[in-house]
Amino acid sequence: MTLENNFINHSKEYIFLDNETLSNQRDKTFNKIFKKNYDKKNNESLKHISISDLSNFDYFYKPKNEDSKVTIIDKYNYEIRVVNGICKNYEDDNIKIRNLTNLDFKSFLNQDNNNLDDIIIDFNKIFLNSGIFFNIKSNSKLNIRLIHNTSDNFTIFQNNFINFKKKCEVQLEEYFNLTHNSINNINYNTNIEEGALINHNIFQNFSNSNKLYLTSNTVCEKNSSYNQNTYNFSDGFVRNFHNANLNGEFANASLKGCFFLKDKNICTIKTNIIHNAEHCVSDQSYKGILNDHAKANFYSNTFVSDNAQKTEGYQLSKGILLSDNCSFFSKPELRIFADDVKCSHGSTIGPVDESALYYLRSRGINKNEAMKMIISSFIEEDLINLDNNIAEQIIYNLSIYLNSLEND
Amino acid sequence: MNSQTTETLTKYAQNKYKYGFVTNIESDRPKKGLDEEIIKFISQKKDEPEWMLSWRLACYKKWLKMSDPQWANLKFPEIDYQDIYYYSAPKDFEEKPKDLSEVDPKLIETYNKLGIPLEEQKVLAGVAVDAVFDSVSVATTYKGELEKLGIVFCSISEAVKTHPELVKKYLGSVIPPGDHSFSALNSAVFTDGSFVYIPENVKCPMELSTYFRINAEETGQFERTLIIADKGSYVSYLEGCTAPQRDTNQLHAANVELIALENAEIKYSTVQNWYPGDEDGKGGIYNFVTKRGLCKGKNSKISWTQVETGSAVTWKYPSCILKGDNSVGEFYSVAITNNFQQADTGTKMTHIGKNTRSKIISKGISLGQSQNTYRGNVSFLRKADKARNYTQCDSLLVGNKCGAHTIPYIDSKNNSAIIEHEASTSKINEDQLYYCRQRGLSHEEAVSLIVNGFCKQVLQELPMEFAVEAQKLVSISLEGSVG
Repeated sequence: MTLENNFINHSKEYIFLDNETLSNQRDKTFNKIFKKNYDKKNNESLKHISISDLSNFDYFYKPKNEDSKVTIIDKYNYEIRVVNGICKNYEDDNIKIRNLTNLDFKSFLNQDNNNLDDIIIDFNKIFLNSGIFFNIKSNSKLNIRLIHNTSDNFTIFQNNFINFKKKCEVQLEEYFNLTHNSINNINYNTNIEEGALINHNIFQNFSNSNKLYLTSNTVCEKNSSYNQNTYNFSDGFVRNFHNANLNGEFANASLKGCFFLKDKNICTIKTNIIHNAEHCVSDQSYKGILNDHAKANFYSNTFVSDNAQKTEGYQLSKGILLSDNCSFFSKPELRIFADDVKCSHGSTIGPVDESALYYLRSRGINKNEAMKMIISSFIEEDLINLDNNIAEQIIYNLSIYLNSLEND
Repeated sequence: MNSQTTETLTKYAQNKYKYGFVTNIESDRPKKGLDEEIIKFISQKKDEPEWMLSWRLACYKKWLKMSDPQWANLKFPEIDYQDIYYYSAPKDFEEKPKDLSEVDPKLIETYNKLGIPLEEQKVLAGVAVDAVFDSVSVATTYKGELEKLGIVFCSISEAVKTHPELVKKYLGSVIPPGDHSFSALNSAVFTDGSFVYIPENVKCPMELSTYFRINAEETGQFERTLIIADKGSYVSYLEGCTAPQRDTNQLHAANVELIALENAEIKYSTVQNWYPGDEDGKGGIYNFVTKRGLCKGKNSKISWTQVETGSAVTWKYPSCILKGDNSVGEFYSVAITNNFQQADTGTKMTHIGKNTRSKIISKGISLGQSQNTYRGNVSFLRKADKARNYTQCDSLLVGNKCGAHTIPYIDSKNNSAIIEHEASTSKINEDQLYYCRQRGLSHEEAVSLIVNGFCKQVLQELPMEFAVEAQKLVSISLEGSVG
């Protein structure tokens, strides 16, 4: 179905229908895309996908929340199950979770990504049908597992707000167990208050009939720390777009990830870190392994504004191409307006190291085993700091991926 | 930043452009603006054959349909193409001087002021100079010696008449006129430039050199250079320019095409020091240059070296298309920006053939309120087996009002190709500065030493004749400020 039909037929399902400002904004955004007035430069990350393909989908959504629940394993461990973009409202001493209501229009109106001019974010604005508020209370030390499920061929346009209050320490693990033929356009607005330390691990694994557009916009205040790790084993199309603003002194943010692609998968990653304060440290690093006809794009950007002295900003992208038909594009960008900075980026793309392969084979290891060893060691360093649970998942999926290489 | 650096910076900011002067020579030029009449006028003035005129007109038609490229990280007012003179030549061109004594003494005087006296150069440096003053070649030296080897080194308008088969075959073959609007514009209105042809298995015994000089006010310069190196040949070409101080912006859109056939090697070096505008960013030259080399044959090599210190706006991406197997592309660049200068420069390496290799070394230095951008594209096409690229781009920031940006595009479609890219941005290392100061160097000297060391990797790639001028330029750019 075309974008226009979807918009006309399903305009009643929008979450903030009663708010005039937002409705107007929404019409404006729709017209912008409809008349192709969007900025091509901002959407360069959608290089291998035509925008008309993106905007042709069958909008289908019914709010069903039968399976969603919050399980408290013990005082420090929570499991939150979000089904079709809906959660169960819950509150205790540590956390508060609730679904977005029409009264939340103010937070929606003021979110930072309003001026990003990105088509996928615009779709989220036009068709918004769900959203969740997370509040992690100050000084709490928690492990949270967040699991996303779908129960039908839904198109989910979700806008979430997460607020990490002062000095909380959270290990957040997010899983996307998508089934059916769903489209998931999920947008996060994260605010990390002073002194909060957040580790955010995202695990993406689903079949090729699903699509995931995951966008996050994180604001880090003084002395806070945000570490994001994304592991993508999906067969379906994934776009990861992660933004971090370092607004307070001594904050640090790292956006890292690994992806493992095969067949005709396409994966697009865009990361962006803005340094607005002094003494901040940032890191953007992605590693990828590509096989068959897979294509990957990685755009990273470090922006250092003129008052952000003593900044350290690093970028790294590494790609291994296993077949003749895959391709990897990377664009690591530095925009620096302050002089007392240490910024660097590195990028390598190539095949598996021939001499390493030769070394292993000359010691009697067959080619497949040797390849597996080299590829495992390629991402080894990213697995060291992980929690058992997610590490197991990754190692399991990695072995499936490596075994699929063997059959070629 | 410590107070000393601030002090030296201010001192530097007041350092005026040394090469600012105007030589008054009557110019022979048509009306302002661009239309078919002007193109016919240029073609007629140059006494060009019919096919050249129709090529120009076709390019003009293409240009009409195009808009200026927008990708660069530059801000400048929209160019009014109807407010520019497209042709200007010294009056005595009709009777071309036979030797230097016949050249307008004022021209000679200009060269003397620039420190590049032709006579002296002839004797001392052994450089054949095809000097361009206001778009027309006025003196070509050492021609006889080159002719003995069968080397053709002349202005492009001469080559159109004397070697039409080569010009027809190669002109626009590396930079198609439809590539972008500046290449179409240049193809339509180019007035002069150099043409070089090196025959098979000839190693050009001397560095070929052209000094460009923009002189007549509000004259856009549209140079066109075409260098063809036949099988097994070698040539080193130098290009350099200084321009007089002006208030109005001058447009420069040159096209340079290099073609290297089997086993041939071309080395192209540039020192660019055009008027960058005054301390307030007023005036200065707009430099939109398209430079592209084609490694057509096996084992060919093209190497670009550039030192960019001038121009208000620099838009320049010397590129290599590595088509022949085992061909090599190199790019070495130093770009220094100061005051309100803006530079968006870099390179594009397109690997098509097997075993092709490329190397990019780029050094950017920003001072004052300038913006310095490196923009590079490295792409490996599907058949570029075992291709390799190494890129290093470093930026140095002096002062907190300038910006340094790095925007590389890296694309690999071949699984046996290897790309390595690294970049860093930093300020002058305090430890190094301290070390130098401890050994009795003044702050200025120390900074100069460090900056020179920072650029050395690139400067040492320049031919001897040029290295001296380049080093002088770098130190002038830093003089009184950071050393």
